[in-house]
Amino acid sequence: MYFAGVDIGSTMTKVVIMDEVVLACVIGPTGAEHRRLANKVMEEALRQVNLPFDEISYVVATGYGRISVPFADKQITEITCHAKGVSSLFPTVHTAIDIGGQDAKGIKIADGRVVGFVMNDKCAAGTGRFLEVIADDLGLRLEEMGELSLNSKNRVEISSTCTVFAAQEVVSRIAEGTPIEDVLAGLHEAIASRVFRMVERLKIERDVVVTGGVAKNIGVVKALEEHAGFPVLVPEEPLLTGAVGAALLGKELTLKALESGRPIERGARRLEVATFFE
Amino acid sequence: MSEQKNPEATQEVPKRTSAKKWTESARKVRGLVRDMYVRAFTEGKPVAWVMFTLVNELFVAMDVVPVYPENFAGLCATKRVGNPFIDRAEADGFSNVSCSYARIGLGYAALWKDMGEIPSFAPDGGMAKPIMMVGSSLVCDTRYKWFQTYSRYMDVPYYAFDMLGPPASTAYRPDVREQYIKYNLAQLQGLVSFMEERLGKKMDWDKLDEIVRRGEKTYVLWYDAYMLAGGAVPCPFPAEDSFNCFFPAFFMMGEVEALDFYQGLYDEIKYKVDNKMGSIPEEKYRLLWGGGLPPWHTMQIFNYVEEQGAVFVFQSTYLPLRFADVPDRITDPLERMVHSRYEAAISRAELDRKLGLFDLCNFVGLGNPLLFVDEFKVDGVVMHWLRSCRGTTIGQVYQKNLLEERTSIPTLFLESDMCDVRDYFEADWKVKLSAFLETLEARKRAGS
Repeated sequence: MYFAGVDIGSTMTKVVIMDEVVLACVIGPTGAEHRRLANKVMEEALRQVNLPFDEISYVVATGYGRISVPFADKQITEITCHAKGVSSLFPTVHTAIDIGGQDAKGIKIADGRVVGFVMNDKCAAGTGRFLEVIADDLGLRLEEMGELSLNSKNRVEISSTCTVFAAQEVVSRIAEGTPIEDVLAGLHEAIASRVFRMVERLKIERDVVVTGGVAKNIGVVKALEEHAGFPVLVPEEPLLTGAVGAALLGKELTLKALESGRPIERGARRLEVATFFE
Repeated sequence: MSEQKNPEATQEVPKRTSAKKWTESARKVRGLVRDMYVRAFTEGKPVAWVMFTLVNELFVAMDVVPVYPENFAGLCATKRVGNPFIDRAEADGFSNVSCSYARIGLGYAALWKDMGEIPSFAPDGGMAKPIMMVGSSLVCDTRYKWFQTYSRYMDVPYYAFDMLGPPASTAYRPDVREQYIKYNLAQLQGLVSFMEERLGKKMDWDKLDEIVRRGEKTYVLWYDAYMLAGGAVPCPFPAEDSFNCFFPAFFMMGEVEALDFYQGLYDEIKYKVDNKMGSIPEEKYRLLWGGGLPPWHTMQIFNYVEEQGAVFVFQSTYLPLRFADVPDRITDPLERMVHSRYEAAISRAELDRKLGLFDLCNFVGLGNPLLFVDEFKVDGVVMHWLRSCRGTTIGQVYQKNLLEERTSIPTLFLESDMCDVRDYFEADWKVKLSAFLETLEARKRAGS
C-alpha cells in the first residue's frame, strides 16, 4: 500500500510518497504562480515512482494550504504532522523547532505525540522570510549565508524586533565596513534568540530537532545550540518532516480502519488544480 | 445626516462575523442592545455615557438612559466598522496599544466633532449626545482618563469615582471590609450628588431601593444560570452565548427587562439540562475560555471549533457575581449596593484562598481557570492574549503555569485584540485551534 503526504507551506510545497519507506519526494515553490498547482507537485512525485494516483491508498494534506487540496482524503495540521515526522526520524525527540518560510513553531513531544506547541505571531522576524529579505538586500544566495557566518570573529548585534528595521541595520553595518560574516552571524543570532525565547515557553527538553527550511542554515542551527547549551539534531532533509508525518498519519488511519473492519473515510480525491483559502 | 463613506467599506468584510446563537435567550440580546441605543435618541430622557461599573441601578432610578461606550466598541467590532474610529483616535495621538474599546469611542467622539454630526456608519445610529460622563476605576487603569477625554471632545461634565476591590489576601478581614465599604459608599454618595446637580432633581430613594432589590434578584439568577450551564454535560449554553448574555447584567441592571431576561435564561438552561439537550451534536472535547476578552470582530471562530466536535462550555472572563444575601438590617440602598459588591469580591477571593494562591499573588480571581477545569469537566483551556487589554491579559501565563503544575490540562494561547481587527490573523487562529484539538484527541487516545 502507498501513502502520500502533501505539505503546502507558505513558501514551499512538499510531497512524499511512501510504503514502508519514503519512495519519492518532491519540493516545489508554493509562490504566487505555483499556488494553484499543488497537483503538479503530486504528479511529479507519482512520476518518480511510476504510480497512477489511484494506487495511493490515502492522502493527507497539511500546512497552511491544507484546507483546499482537492485530492486529499484528510487534512491534519502541520503541528501534528511535524511531530509525527520528527518522531519517526528521531524517536528520542522531546522538542521540535520548525522554522519555515513565514512562521516558526515549537512542539513539545512525548511518546511521539504533541503535548504542547507555540507559534510565532504575525511577524516575519524569526522566520525564513527574515533571511530572504536580508539575502536579497545583500545580493547573497540563501544557501551561502550559513557557511559564511561561521567565519565570523566578532559577531555584531542585530535587532530581532522587526525585519524591516533589521534590514536597515544590516545595510548600515555593511556601510560602516563591518565584515559581512560578522553581520550574518549577528543576524542568525537574532533569529535564534527570538525563536528560542518563544520555544522556551514549552520548557525545552532534549533531544531537540530543528526542521524547516531555516534548519539548512548552519549559522542559525549553531546559534540555537549556543542558546540550548547542547547539540541539536537536524534531519537529512529538514523540509520534508511535515509531509513524511502526514503520509505516516495517513498510513496509521488506513491500517487502523482495516484492522477494525471500518471503511476508510476518503475525500473527494480529485487530482486537479487546488483552490486556496476560500 | 449627509451620506458619509465608511472608510472600511471598500475592504472585504466577511459575510458573517458573529457566532451562531444556541439559545433563545442569546437570540434576544441583539434586540436589547439595539433598544439601548435607540432609546437614548427617542425617549427624550437625559443620556449619560457610562463606564461599566456595577452602578446601572442609579441611572435607572434617576430616569437617565445610560449608554456604554465599551459596549458600543464591541458592537462596532462585530459589525467590522470599528477601525475607522480607531484610525481617527490614533490620528489624535492615542497609542495603538491603548485600549481598543477606548480608541473606538474616542474616535467616534472625534469624528462627530470633525463632521458636526454622528458618523453615518455608526451601528444602531451611534451613541446619543450625553449630558454627563461617568468613569470609574473598576477593573483597569485606562478608565479615568478615557472618560475625562470624552468630556473634552463632547464638552460635557465628567465625574470619576472609585469602586475598589480589596487585595485577595486581606478581603475577609473585618477591619479591611469596614474601611472598603465606608470608602466605596462615600464614592457612590458623591456620584449621586453629581447626578442630582446635573439633573436638577433629587434621588428618589424609595424608587432606588426597589430597583436595587430587583437587581439583587437579577444577579442571583444570572449566577445560577451560568453555573448550572457550565457543569452540564452536554453543554447547552456555549461560551459565545454566554458572552452575549452578560449584556443585561452589565448594562441593564435594575430594569424589569433584565430580571425577566435572566429568569428566562435560567428557565431555558434548566429545561435543557433536565432534558440533556446540548448544543453541538457530538461533544468530543469540552473547552474553557480561561481568560481574556473575546474577539468581538470574529465571534464566528467559536463555530469553527464546534464543527470539529469541541465546545467552549464556559468562559471565565465575564463571571457572574456570586451575591450573598444582603442582611435586612441594611436598609440604605446605596449601602446595600456597596455591601453586595464587596461580598461578591470576597466570595471570589475566598476561592483563591482555598487554592492556596495568596502567597503568590493578590489578584482576585487568579484561580478561576483551575476551579472551572475541575468543576466543569474541561479537557483544554484557551486563553486570549489581547494586545490592548492589560487588565484581562495580565496573569494568564501564571494561570497557565498553575494549570500545568496542578492538573495535566493543556492550555492554548491565542493572540489578537478584542476590537482591533488588524491584530487578528484568521489562518493562524485556525491552525492553532485545530492543532490544539488534535492534541486533545491524541491525549484521549493515549488515555491521559
